[in-house]
Amino acid sequence: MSAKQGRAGVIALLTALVAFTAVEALILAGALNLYWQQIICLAGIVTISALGLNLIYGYTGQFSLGHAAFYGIGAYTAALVTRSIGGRSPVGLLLGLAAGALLAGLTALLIGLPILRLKSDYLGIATLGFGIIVKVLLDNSDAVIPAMGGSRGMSAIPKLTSFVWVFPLALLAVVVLRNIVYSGIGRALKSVREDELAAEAVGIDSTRYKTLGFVIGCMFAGVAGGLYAHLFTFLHPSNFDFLKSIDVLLVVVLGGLGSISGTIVAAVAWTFLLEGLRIVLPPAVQDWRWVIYPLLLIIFMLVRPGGIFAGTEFRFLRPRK
Amino acid sequence: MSVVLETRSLTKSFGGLVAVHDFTMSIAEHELVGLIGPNGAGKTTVFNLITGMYVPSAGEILLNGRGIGGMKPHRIYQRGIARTFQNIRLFKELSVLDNVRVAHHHRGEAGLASTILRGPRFRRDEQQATERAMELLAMLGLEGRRDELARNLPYGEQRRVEIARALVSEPKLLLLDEPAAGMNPFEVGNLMELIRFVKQRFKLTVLLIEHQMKVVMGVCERVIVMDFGEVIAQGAPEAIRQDPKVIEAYLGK
Repeated sequence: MSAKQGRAGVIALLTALVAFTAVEALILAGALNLYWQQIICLAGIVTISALGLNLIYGYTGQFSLGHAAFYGIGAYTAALVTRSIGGRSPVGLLLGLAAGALLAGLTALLIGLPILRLKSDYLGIATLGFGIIVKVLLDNSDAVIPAMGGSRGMSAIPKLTSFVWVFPLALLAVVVLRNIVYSGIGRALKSVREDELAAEAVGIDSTRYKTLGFVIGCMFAGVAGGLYAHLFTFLHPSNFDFLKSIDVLLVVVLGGLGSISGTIVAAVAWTFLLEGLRIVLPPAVQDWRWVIYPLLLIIFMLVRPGGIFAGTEFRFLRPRK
Repeated sequence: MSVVLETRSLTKSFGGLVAVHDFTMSIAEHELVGLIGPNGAGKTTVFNLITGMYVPSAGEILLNGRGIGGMKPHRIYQRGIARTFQNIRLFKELSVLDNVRVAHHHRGEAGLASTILRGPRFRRDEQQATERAMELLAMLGLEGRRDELARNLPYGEQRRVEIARALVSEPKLLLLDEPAAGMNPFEVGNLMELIRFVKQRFKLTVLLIEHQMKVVMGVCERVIVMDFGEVIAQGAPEAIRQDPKVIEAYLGK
């Protein structure tokens, strides 16, 4: 079984490498215009962010409606770092992403310790409240840090994000999450999701593991936000309001709670579906995108409530026996 | 014989209701003690106090002479008290193996970095937890079920998984809350054998709540009887059976 699984891992890695080379070749050859490059990068960014939320909600069972706030914290922090460093060096982006992840994680720790004692719906509302606070702070950020632009938005962010950055980071996110989920720590997280009291009764410090899952998940959002900032080079507080949290939640549920494969597939499919409809539909019925797409969601949930993957994984993501 | 568990004037009230009042007992090493009483007598509340799920309103709980009252449940488990629940509480969406392995997690040494990098500590932890869990599953005749989701097992096997989970990190004291609930006479017979076996094998001290007199009389060396949150009698099973106070508590005057 182990050899088989190991082989699946090698094949998956090779496939990833081939896919990466192919897409990068198309970009270099000029076959994919800037617009499509952005969409492809966005799919990777959504994947990273959604993997983080899956760790929080899917694996640890903590319902968060504030994911976009941590995405925003990462985005603005990274943008401030690269702008203050100046130039277009990749080291700047790396520093920015690290700073974004760190601040998102630190905020998650501070906010998580008091609110993670709440259960399900109550936690959802508390995280929602936190998201609204962050949005309002961003709206008025120029009063403290003029560079953040407040409600006018933050501009002049260097365009540093490219497929060369997004793909390896998304791959890294997948590997990190997989290694966490299939481990003693992962089992502790899942036991808290299944039954907090029983988890405590077998020696699991539930507060500690809830916080751990939340902080790591929010750090994923921080990295994703940093990439987003340097992809679109412009940030506006409305990019990080609570509707954006719902978008990520949707990807996670659509893919299947507690499935890495599902999150990847759903994140990519969701990003391309939104853009795809824009191209397929004639201009006159463009607005119907916002009816067609939610309708697809309803139908999908009725037909397959467990999500695309419903708790299963591609073979290369399954644990070794 | 040394005392493993001791409670002194343990009291728990919920608002105006006093669920446990002035509860004093002690359990010696390797003893198998039954805790009985009519419904609502406060037996499960005593379990919840001992395992840290409730904070005592007054009184003390001592494990090997050291106070554990008011500690968090996971700390108490790590000190050596494991339990099962009246209404089985397995991690339903986890495999049988993972249900047992998770209870061994606190023994692990691998941190987050070692886990993410799949370092030597992680691999050692994983191997130890798996070996230990498989040992217990084999002992309880569940090795063939290791990859099954816990929710898919029949009731009797779920009980056994819960016992395996409670035993995996070698507790000193095992608390069983109505282990025979919902079992047929055949299963009850097996359960009694199992309780005797694990007690011997792991040199355990056992405290169990039970309603089925067959189990209480069959395995317990001593019985403590509760009514309205207080101890009303204790002694050998045979003596308890004749005690007028006990009969009154169950049947009325």
